[in-house]
Amino acid sequence: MAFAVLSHRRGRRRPAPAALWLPGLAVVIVTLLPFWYLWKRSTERGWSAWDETLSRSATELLANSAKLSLGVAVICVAVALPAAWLTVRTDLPFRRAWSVLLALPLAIPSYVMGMTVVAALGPKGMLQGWLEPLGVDRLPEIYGYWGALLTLGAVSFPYVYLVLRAALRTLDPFEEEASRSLGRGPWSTFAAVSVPALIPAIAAGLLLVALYVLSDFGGVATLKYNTFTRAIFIEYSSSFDRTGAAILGVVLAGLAALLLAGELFARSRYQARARAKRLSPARPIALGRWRWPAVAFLAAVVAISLVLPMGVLVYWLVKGIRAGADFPEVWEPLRHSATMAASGGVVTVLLALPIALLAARFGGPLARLLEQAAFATHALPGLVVALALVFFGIGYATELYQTTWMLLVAYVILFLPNALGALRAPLMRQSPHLEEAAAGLGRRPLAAIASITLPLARPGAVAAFALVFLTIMKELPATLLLSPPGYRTLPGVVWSNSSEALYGGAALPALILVGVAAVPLVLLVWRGDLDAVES
Amino acid sequence: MPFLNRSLLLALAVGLVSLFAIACGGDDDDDDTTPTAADGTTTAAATATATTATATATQPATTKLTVYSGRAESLVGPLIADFEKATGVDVDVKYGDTAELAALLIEEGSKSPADVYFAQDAGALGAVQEAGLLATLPEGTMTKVTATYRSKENTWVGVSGRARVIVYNTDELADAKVPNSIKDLTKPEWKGKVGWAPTNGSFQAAVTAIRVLEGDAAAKAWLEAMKANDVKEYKDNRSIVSAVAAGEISLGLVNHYYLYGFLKDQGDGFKARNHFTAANDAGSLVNVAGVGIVKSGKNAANAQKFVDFLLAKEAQEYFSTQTFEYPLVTGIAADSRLKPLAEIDPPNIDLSSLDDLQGTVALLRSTGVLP
Amino acid sequence: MPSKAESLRVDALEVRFGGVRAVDGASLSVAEGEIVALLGPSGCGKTTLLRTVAGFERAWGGEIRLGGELIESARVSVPPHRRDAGLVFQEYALFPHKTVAANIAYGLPRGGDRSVRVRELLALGGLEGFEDRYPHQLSGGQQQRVAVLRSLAPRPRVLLLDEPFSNLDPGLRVEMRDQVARLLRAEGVSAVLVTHDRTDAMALADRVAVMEAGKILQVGTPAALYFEPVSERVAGLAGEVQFLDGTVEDGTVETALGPLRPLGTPAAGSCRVLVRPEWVIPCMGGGAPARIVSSRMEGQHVRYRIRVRGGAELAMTTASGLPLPPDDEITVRVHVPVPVFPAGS
Repeated sequence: MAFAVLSHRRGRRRPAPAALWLPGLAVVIVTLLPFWYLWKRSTERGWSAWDETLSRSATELLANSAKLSLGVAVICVAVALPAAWLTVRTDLPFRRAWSVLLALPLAIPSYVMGMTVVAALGPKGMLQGWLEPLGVDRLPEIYGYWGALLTLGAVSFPYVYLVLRAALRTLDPFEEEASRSLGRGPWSTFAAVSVPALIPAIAAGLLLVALYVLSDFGGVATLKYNTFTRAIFIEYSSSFDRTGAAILGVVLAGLAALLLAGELFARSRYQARARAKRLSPARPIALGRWRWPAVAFLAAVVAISLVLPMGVLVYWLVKGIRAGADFPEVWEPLRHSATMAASGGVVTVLLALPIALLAARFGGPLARLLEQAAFATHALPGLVVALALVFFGIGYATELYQTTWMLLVAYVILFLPNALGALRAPLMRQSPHLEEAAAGLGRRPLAAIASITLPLARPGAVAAFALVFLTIMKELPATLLLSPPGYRTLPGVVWSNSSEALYGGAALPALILVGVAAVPLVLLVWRGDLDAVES
Repeated sequence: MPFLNRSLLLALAVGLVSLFAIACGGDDDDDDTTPTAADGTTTAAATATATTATATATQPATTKLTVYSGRAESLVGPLIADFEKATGVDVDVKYGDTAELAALLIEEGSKSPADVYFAQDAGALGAVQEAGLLATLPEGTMTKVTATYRSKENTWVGVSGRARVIVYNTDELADAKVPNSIKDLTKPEWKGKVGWAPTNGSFQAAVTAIRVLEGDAAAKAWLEAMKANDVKEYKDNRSIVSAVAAGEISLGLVNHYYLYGFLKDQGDGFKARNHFTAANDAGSLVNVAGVGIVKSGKNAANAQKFVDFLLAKEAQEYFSTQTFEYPLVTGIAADSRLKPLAEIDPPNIDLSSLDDLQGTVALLRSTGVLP
Repeated sequence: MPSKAESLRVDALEVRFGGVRAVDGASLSVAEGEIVALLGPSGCGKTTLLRTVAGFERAWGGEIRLGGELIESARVSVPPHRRDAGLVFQEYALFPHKTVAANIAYGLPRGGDRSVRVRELLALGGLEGFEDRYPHQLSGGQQQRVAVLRSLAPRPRVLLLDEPFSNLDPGLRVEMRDQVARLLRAEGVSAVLVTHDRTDAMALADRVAVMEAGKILQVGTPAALYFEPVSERVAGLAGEVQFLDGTVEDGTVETALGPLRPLGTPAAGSCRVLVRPEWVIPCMGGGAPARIVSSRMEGQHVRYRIRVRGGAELAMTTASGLPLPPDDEITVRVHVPVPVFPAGS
């Protein structure tokens, strides 16, 4: 009873309505501004600057960045796939609670995760303190690749986990039942039938994660792992060299383009099939004697990704209170951050809609290009995007410059892909016949979209809002550079205090930040709305 | 199942209200910062600074000032509040990383909304000056500070000093055991026990000092010997102090004042203390946090007031007692726990010399210390 | 029917996907109030033709007129929402977030008598009392009726149905076929029905167009297609077939079943003769001798395999009854004029 999905062989295409592609095009042009800026800056000193910059260990940095992206991707799949399967398909005890706990690390900024990982797992960290009586004098180095991997893996896997949960919910249980009836056990069925069907979802989730890892600075800086992005920051901070930084930025964009091509390939190879929903959900698979090992696995994941950072923050807070530390004012920054995150979330989702609709409904090279372009920016560090906007704001939009509007533009550019990712799946899953039926009943394309497509995409839009909201809450570099002078935000306060060793002072705003960022996420996961991103 | 259900309406409403708040919210901080007219100090301070104001009286008098501060709010926030109170000037501060703010200023160029750049290290001030963005300061301002701690081009002036020290773990070492020169850190007994932060401006200045004092070859040899001795790399000074106290490493090359922040935050049980190296050792360089006036600023008179405020007695005492830095204006004593500035006798190098900094960065790269 | 005004006209329509001609010069005409079925195997282009009429695919050549108005050609393409052509999808495409009543009212112009029309249609479809249900609360047959009613509501100039019965189980299918036929006739709407099931096509349509490889092979009443197919292929698509070799001579065709009366006046010479299983009937004499090889009671009829002169085996179905045992010798004859096709076609 699967939908007869829109045949992908298309004849002559009916053009998409201008009301969709005009705003889509406009948004994408804005998101491409950073690339234009990078190109301008990177070529202003001629090609010799390229030679000079790239001859310096560029290959090693590139390899490090690629290695880290790949490693984090592996961790994400290794953790998210069993976690999603256990919480969606099995009779795991306290499924709902686990579902929420596993999503929560998404609300923790990478710089906070990095700080707390070092404090807890460093050679002489808190863990070593507990192990001291057992004669453990020193823990192995946490700095470098493995520490960065742990930090970024912990904050990234929930994204893949959420995507996989949604995909598992909509997987056709008949295929699994067919496999079971052919004599395969539940594990073997999962590996042979479910996993291949999940590949498009996995690829989409990993793409965002890999692009994010390429752009991350907070985590790699704390754990001292030399990636391309760290080199860009060093270029700014040690040499004040915009050209060198821009050249590295262009190379980073090239790496992002490779990743995008890879995801496109995975998507075309394993075309997402639209599936009908069976009325009764698949019966939970009994874990039997695997019940407690499964719980232990999830508990370990939650311990590292959630209990560890939260525990360290609370410890610092208590220690700070005992030592009589000064606590920064947090209510005004909280109000600012929440305001920006809420409005940024709404605006980003609204602007992502035309692009998602174009890509899901009208296809074609233009729509594909728009979508890919929107994703490409995701690999650029926030600092680079912010400086590009400084360049354009100062030059062409002086009225907007150093206002919160400019900050809003930066958030749209940075987080459009997060919104697109959440919107795309439910739109792709909707039968295009619904809109055709509306057209056959006399509705113009936009009216059909408004009355049929959008209401049905609502869960996707709400999920997109929640993801963008929490990502904006956490964002640091662009927020610092682009917010108007005197406009204090929570990440700014955390940064300000942690950079001056006031851990007690940093712990309070960090805890509030994580708490507020998590609110929409917790609500959605608890109610199961993030899974029901289908009609 | 009405499709515009309550949660969606709520989300939309929240978003729209937020947008509205942004649209009208440009000035929402004014309540906190508008000085009270009844405050007697306002008029007093205004008269006190009237002379400097006339110096730049070509511009209309304003009550605004925009500061880009590479120094954290937790350190200088109270000081700026004092300034607002004293002068009635309404200060908007953009806090950020010193180097990132320098990049921002350079990118903004002549249209920067900033009036003042308050930086954590001299190199960044040098870079902004090199881009031609800093105004010349009056001689009266410059001469309040020793020549070593201000720009030769008279574009910026140091307001507080931070000495390079060796921080050590008190469980493992007594002060007497800590080396008196950073050259000694290459000895085998310190193998794998020393931390440094090569991306940090103050560290790079210290390396510049070695080059100036002993030449590039010696600097290169030292860096390589340090690497060979398995020196541990950290993100910044703060992380080093934290790692030393935890016993992760025994010694660290840092600025002196981070320690006092930790002591304030975590109490005297914190297991790290500073050791000052011998006079004229490259390890005893004194770097500065400094301030410059941005040429294109619209509030030059207030900017000048701010610079003067930072060099006045209260601010200098604030740096001494609150941030544990060295006051740079003569006649103001440093915290009693610090080795007096006069005794440190740092190597005499131009703190803002950009050529030297780039040479240092090149050296750090060629030795593989920086990527 | 030809006396009635023409509603839909498809002329030499050509639709391509990449290099493939999905519809390759197809022509079709539907009169006012007439129901025409497009019958063909899957992949023959019939759904593409229907979607082109609805406006969801573009023509490369030829033209489509609706009520005389040119709606689609290589140059002209009226957007789907201005065509007044209702499309009923194979999987119904009911709006899952709207009630039955809201689904049916969706295509009606805003204003006064929407509820009147909705109530009228609900009554017509026997769905009174279901107006506030959501689609997932309905049975398959109910969903299908809602889909048809929704498309009928705005009184389209033509109703297009894409495999409307393929998702229903056999018992329901017959019932729904009758109900839909009744709905269409009651509304007097012109309709084009796409199906690969010849029973659906023949039970519902006034005329049937047989389609293969993008071309329309024959258009005619169900009887004409069944008894007078123009080719072996049409014969096969319209019903169960078996062929005998024969020779045309002097107005008769000589076969293993003896001389048979051919349809029309075929050219003399060797040929192939269509003999549908129920056209062969046992008789008391004067027929060709045959021996029963096997027999099987299949409910409404009995199916035999018989061996005739020269050793050829044929299928024969008769009205239900006690089957004759194997090895019985009987005589059989063919009671209709047989279509004759050139040998080797």
